[in-house]
Formats: sequence, C-alpha cells, structure tokens
Amino acid sequence: MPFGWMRALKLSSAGSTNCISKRAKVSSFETLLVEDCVWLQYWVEFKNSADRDRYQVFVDNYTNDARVHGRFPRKNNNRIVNVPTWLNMWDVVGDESRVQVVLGLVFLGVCILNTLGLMLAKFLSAAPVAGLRRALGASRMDIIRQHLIEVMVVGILGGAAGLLLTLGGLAVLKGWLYSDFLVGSDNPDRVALVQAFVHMDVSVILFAIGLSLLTGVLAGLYPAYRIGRLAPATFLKTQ
Amino acid sequence: MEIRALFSALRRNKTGPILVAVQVAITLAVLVNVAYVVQQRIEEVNKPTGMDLEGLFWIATGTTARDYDYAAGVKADLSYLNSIPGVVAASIISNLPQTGGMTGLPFASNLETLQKPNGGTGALIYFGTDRLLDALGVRLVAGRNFELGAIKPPAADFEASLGDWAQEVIITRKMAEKLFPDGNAIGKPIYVGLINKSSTIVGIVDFMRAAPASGRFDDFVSQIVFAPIIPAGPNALYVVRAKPGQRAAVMREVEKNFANLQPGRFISRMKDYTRTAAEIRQGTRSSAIILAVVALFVLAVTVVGISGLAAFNVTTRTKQLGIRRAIGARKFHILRYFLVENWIITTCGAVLGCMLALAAGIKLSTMYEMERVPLYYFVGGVLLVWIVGLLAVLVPARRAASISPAVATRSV
Repeated sequence: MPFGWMRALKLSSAGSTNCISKRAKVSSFETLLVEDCVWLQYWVEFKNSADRDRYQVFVDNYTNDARVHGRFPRKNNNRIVNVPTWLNMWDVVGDESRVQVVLGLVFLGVCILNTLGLMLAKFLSAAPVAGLRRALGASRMDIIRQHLIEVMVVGILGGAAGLLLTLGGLAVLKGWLYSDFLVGSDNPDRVALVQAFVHMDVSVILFAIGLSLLTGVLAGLYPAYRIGRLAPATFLKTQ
Repeated sequence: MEIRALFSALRRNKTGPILVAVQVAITLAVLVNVAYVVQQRIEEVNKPTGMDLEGLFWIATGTTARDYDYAAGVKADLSYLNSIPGVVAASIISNLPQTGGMTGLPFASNLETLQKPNGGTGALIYFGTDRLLDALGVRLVAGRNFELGAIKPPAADFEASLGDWAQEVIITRKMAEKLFPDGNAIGKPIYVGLINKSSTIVGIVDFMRAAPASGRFDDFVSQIVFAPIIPAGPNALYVVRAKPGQRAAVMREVEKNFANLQPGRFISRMKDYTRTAAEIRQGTRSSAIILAVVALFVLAVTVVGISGLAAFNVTTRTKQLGIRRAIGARKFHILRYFLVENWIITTCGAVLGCMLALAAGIKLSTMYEMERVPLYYFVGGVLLVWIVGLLAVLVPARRAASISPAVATRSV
C-alpha cells in the first residue's frame, strides 16, 4: 500500500509510538501528526558508502536545522545502520544459537581428536608395510603424502556421508521443528514459506567439502608425520 | 597387580591415551553443562500455569464495519458465550496468557516507593469481567470477585483504559506477598506507577503463571494484577473455559454461530489452550532436544574413541598377551589389566573434564543468568563416564582375554 494512503485513510500505526513531550496525548491520527512523536522508521537504499556518508550529513543538517526551531533538544545521535548491524543491535541471533554453534564446534573437536587417535592406531598397526616401502626406496615425504591422502579421502567420504545425514536431518527439521505447530499457523502457504528457509544450497555443500578436507588434514597430519618419521628397520626386523 | 607394567606401557605410548583422555574431558564438560541446561529447560516447560489449559480456548475477533458498536458487541458476545451449555465461564481479556503478549506496570503498597527511580514491583496486568477468574480457571483464595458495577466500560484505546483505571483489583498471592510481606492484603490500597492511580485489593488468587520463564523472570510472570476493565476495541480477545471433555464441541459451536451473531464482526483466530501453551514452549523444548542429542553424539564418539584405542592396544600386544597367558596369567587378569588401564585414562580425563566443565559452567551461568551447575551433576557425570568407559572397553578386553597362550609360541 502506498505510504500516502495512511494519511488519506487515517490508518492507525501498530508499532511503538514515543512522544518527545510526556504530556502529548495521541488520541487520533491528527494528533499523531501534530504532536512531536516518533512512530516511523525509514529504510534507505544507498549505492555506495559515499552516498551513505552524504546522507548522514543530510540527516544531521536536518536535525541541526530543526534544533534552531526548538525541536530535538539533545545532541545529535543520528545513526544510519545497515541490516547486519541492526540485527546485532537487537540481538536477533541470541545466545541460544551461539551456544549451539559452540557445542557444534566442540563436537567437531571431539571428532577430530577421535579420528586422530583411530588413524594413528591404524597407521601404526600397518607400520611394517610402510617400513617395507621405505626399505624399497620410498622417501619420508612419499610415506607422509600417502597417509595424508588416505586421511583426506576418509575425511571426504565422511563429509559426503555427513551431507546425506544433513539431508535427512533437514527433513526431520522441516517435519518436526518447522511444522505448522511451531510456525503457529494452519495456513499451508505460510508454513511452506517458513520451511523454505530450511534447505541446502551450493554454499553449504562447498562449506561441508572444505570443512571435511580441513578436518582430514587436522586429524591426519600428526599420524602421517609419526608414521613417516619411523625408521624402516624397526619394523622390518620384529615380528 | 601389574601396576608398574601398566604405567610403563602408558608412558611408552602416550599419544593414544592422551587423545582419549582429552576426549573424555571435553565430553564430560559438555555432558555436565548440557544436562544442567536441559534439566532447567524441562523444568521451565513443565512448571504449572495455574490455568485450566485442558478446558480453555481463546477467540480473537476483528471487524470490517466502521460503525461497529464495540461495547454492545462485547456484551452480546459474552452473554452468548456464557450461555452455551458446555461453557463454565467466558470473559474478554486484554492479553492472552501463555503467548508472547504481555503488559506490565509497576505497583506498590505506598506512594513513596513508586516515586523512587525504578521503584515498585512489576506485575503483569489483565483486564476482564467478573467471569475472568472463572474463565481462566484460577482459584480465588481470599476476598471476593469483582462486583458487576465495578466493571469499567471500554475506553477509546489502551491509553484511555489506563487513564480510567479500575477502583478494585484482584492480585495473585505471589504479588500480595511481595507488596505486603507481613500480612493481609485484602482491603489495602495498591498504587499503580506510570499512570498514577490507586485501587483497592478485593481478592487474592492462589496462583497463576502467565508464561514459561526462568531466572528472575519467573517471579515476574506470576505477579499478576487483574482489573475489572473491558479492554478497548474494536478487536476483542475472549477466553472461554469449557466443561471437561466438551471443549472441541463448544469450539465447533462457536465457530458455527459466532459470525451470524453480529454482522461486521468476525473470528480472526481461535485456538485451544493446550496447543497455545505447547506452542510457546516449543522453542525451548526443541532446543533442549537438540542440545541433548548433540551431547549424546559427543558421548557416542568418545565411546568409539575409547574402544578404538583399546582395540589397537589389543592388536599390537597380541604376542605379549599370549606370553602372559602362557606363563600363568588367567583370563581374568588380562581383562582386569585392560579395564584398569582404561579406568586410569578415563579418570585423568574426568579430572580435567571437571575443570573444563566448571569453566564452561561459569561462562554459561552469566549468559543465561542461571545458577552454577550443582555439584551432583559433576558426580553424576564422572560416574557416567566411568561406566560408559568400562562398557566401551569391555568388548576389546574380552577379545584380549580370549587370546590363546599358543599365540606366544608362534612367530609371525
């Protein structure tokens, strides 16, 4: 609806209305216009930051000018914030989500430690083979490279399995967390709109691949180094 | 017991045990804190409301007619709703409890308190008729209900309603205890901040909690002031309490008849309170489930880690184990060796984990404004880690115990 209609139809506003003068009594649309009240917020789109700076000057000049005529008695506090800053200001994300992110990272950490331990065990039990390769002329770097690649393959396979699991998890989220129950609406269109936020896109897939590679490297570096460092003779002579 | 051999083996191969111990530590820290947070959430979700959620439903009305006579409309709606045979009581209400909507004001037993900055006790306010308490299903334990003559007709808007404040109010016991710590609140004046009014307390309601809350908000949501005021229009909210088992039938009947009752006034939304109360708790419940599931996964991964280390040790020590068996060790000794070795690693992890949990708990408690994690959560966490650790190592340890002494005689 065009904004001008508000005045023509004398529509009331549902948001918070703060009036400079405590005595102001907003009983009708006319008084809202006459009294010095804040009941609108503005969205402005800028092409670049220079435009934004110019706009800041413009707004400051406006309030400075109005102060001469008795409005805005306090010092200028005109802030132009972009959407991310606005979300931060109102703490939209919330502690709850932050805790979940931290918990997710801790989970990843435990998994890395676990993989590290398992890989170390696996490599060491296959050490005689590595020893044989060294004896036949493979360099330390070759051994390290071979094992690092092995861990990264495991990491990528894990990442792929994780992506499949994520698909399943998203289905659960859609059906359960974002059902009409939580959305609080029986309207299927509205539920579908909210559910549309729960999806996997290319950036998520790329992130997952990158993360599983990184995880593989983190988990595999030490075991690969350990196995590469072993003297070939140790493993060739025993057992 | 071969304690010295055990420690010497641990010293020689430090990496594996250290990795497992660190995993155990992190797992314990996660488990202790998540268990506490989840327990708090469950408690928050399951706290009683004092309302008859099973019998209640609510109706929100809207109007398309410009000349809709709101005052007369509300009167007619309420007399219809109260006349349905399956209905215990129905009232108009200013805000729906158990939803996000809340309105509060500061109150005090004397004017001086209110004049101090931030003075007074905050309370939620609910406007309604003399049937409001019956409709919500809350219990009047002292004093009397509102008199019919005391009910204020609807004002032009919410501000005007506040300006024409009621002469009498009913408050919850929690509020009465806050305002009058040493005695009877009935008949005493109560002063209302911000709007500078006063009323007389005529009744006390046993208990009501208007929304799930924890920490310092828990008091606030059960400090409630009911005022006999018909809220301003043109849209109305009604709470209707049906007799046991008859809610669904009453709702169907209301849906069928309500629109024809008054032209220009329609039902914009209507929902039973079982669902409404569950909806506002759903976020808390979901996050508790997510936290618990992730914590269990962390535990599962650690079990795999413990098991993996033990299995690796069994494989690399096969020959030595065979020798031990050949020179007289019994199966039980082998089993015990692995269990004790694992117990030592787990315990080292648990000690470290308790410190981690404490640090994480302090951080969390400042974030959520909740109490520190009680000691018995740590005790429970350590016990759990011990038991799970022993179970995790049992399978590889039994495999070790079953190694035949003959292995020692073979050279691979």
